Order: sequence, then structure tokens, then C-alpha cells
Amino acid sequence: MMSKPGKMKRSDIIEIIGICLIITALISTYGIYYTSNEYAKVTETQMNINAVVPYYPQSVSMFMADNTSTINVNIAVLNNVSRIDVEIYLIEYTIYASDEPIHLPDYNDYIGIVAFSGSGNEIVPAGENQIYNVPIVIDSDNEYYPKLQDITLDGSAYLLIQGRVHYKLTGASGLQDSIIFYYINEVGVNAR
Amino acid sequence: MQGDGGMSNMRKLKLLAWSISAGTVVAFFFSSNFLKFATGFSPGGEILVMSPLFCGFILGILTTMDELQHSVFASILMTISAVAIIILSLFSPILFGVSGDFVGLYYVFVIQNMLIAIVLIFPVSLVSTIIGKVVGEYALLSHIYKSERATLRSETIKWYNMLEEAADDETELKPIGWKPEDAGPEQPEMTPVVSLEPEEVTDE
Repeated sequence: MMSKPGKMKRSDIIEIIGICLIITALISTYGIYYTSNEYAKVTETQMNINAVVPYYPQSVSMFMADNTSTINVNIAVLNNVSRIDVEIYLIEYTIYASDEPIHLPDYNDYIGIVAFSGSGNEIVPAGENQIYNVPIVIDSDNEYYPKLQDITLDGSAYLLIQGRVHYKLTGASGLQDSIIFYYINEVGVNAR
Repeated sequence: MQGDGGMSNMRKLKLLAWSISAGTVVAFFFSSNFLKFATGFSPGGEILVMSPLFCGFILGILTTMDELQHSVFASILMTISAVAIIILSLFSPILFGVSGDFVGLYYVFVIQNMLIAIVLIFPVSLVSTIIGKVVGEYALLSHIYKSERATLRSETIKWYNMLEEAADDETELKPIGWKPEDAGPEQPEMTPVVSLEPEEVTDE
């Protein structure tokens, strides 16, 4: 079977289609590698990012004054085991206080709730940690102010803080997620 | 060198390369769709059907010159390679050495997506490969080849008819266009040199 000169044989067409398919597959292989690599990085960040209230004296401090009470809470966001920068867009926590040790959140010990968005663009770079100071200020006209005064009469209070840090991964994914933190400890009261 | 079914080793290698290539393309679209939360790139849910459909169709065109069983084999190989690559991409955090505890939900996610891939890819690719082969046969085969094939077909039918006639008439088969003068001088009857009759055994 002879083909006319200048005309392409059908086997040639099949060969060309086959080569194009192989080239497409090679491009796809890079795409699969990129996808897998990004997925690995996102998983690594999600599995290792952590938020804690460190157990050293300065991390949580209470200041009582005549008209106002301030509880400073330092929240550390640990992004040291990650290859992606993390953008913190909201930190929220609920605080409970009692003159007796607290183990579980109880509405009778409720003091207040805080939502902190900072500048709205708080970046924790990959491989680093960042500490955010998120205070709660309770004024004298607040219904929980007298309760807090009663609790802190002996110069200390047991605090239970539970909250959540909402973050967004920078880069292509833009994945949003959150991590929880928990703190239970006795805190001394400083007069201001 | 001819292998089984008259398929050369080069042809087998090409079939293998095409099948794995088609599987890789399908796996890319599936992985992108399953892991869109990580890359931000989503080709859309329709691609889960479209990619095996088109790749299977192309595979069918590529196997136009081969037998149907080779096309089916190529389609199965494409499914296997696609699913294998999808599983590898879903297990990429472990393969890339990400530290951490992978909880049960992670494995559920992998198994769930693997099953979706198998259920979607195999039937769609198989059907589209066969369709591609049929379309390829009509679109790619030249007129010369078609007419040659038609001639062969008519000759085969003629032979079958002659065979049937011979079987009916119990006459000797002669090739097409045979004339009595082509037979040549009549051959003498052959007599066996050794008797095929069993010899009688006599007691001495």
C-alpha cells in the first residue's frame, strides 16, 4: 500500500497524536508534582501550627484599678514547623475567673469575651513564632466588674481562658482554618 | 520480532507509553480537583468525567491499527496508572516526609477519593476508547486501504462460497481461475511399499 508523495500516512498521524499525548503527560507530571508539593506544605502547616498561652508570669496579668480592670493575655502563635506564611485575621477567647480552682468552663465564672482582629493583616512568617497581646478591659459599669472585684479580694484569681485563633494561609491556596488554645492557672492581681 | 497476536515489542512499548501518558493526564485533573483547597486551582467538577472521556477517546484513535483487545487493555492500563498516580498525590504529605500524626480522617479522605477515581475513570475511559477506535477506523483509514480491505473481504466470501459448494458436491477443491489443462499429466496411482495391514501372529 503506497501513499501519495507529500501526503501524510495514517500511521504518521497516529505517531504525531501519540507524541502530543506524551508531551501533555510530561506537563501534567509537573502539575501533579506542584499540586502534591503544595498539598504537603499545607498539610504540614495545618498539622503543626499551634496557639498557646505560655506558662510564664508575664503571659497573663491582672491589673485592678478603681474604675477599671485589665487582664492582659499573651497568645503565642507557633508557626516554626511550616513553609507557608500565616495571616492571623482574628483572635477570640472567652475568660472565666473564680476564687477557687477552675477545671471546666462554667457560666457562673464567666467574665467576658474578646475578639481581636489587630490590623487585620498580622503575618506570622514561615518558620517563626509570634506573640500577640490581647487584653480584656472590664470597666466599672460592666455587670461583671463587681464579681471580679470580689474574686480578687485575696490578691489572686483562678483564670480559665479558652479561645481560637483564625488564620489564613498566604499564597495560592488562601485556605482558612483555626486553632484552639486553652489556659488554666492562678494569676496574681497587681494594683495599678 | 513478533510477539503474541502479531504485535511487535515496539508496538507494545508504544501502547504502554500512550496508556500511561493518558493516565497521567487524567490523574493531573483528578488530583487538582481533589486537592483544590491546597493549590487554589480547580478545573471544575465536570473535568472528572471529561478528562477520562477525552483521554480514552484519544487512546482509542491511537489504537486504531491494533486489535480491539489491545484497546481494552490500554484502557485498563490507563485506569490503573491514573489511580496509582492519584493515590501517590494523595499520600504526598507522607511521601514528602511531613511530620505529624495522620489521623483516621486523613485515610478516609484518601480512600474516598480513590474509590471515586476508580468508579469514574474505568467505565468512561473504556467506552470512550472503543468509540475512539471506531471513529479512528472510519476517519483515519485511507481510501486505498479501505478498497483493499473490501477486495480481501469479497475474495474471502468467494472462497467461503467455493468451500460450501465443494462440501455439497464432494468434488475436489480448485483455486480460482483453475482450468483442466493446468492439472498436467495424470499421476500414476501410488502403491504403498510397506503394507499397512497388521501382520498375523502365528504360534510356532
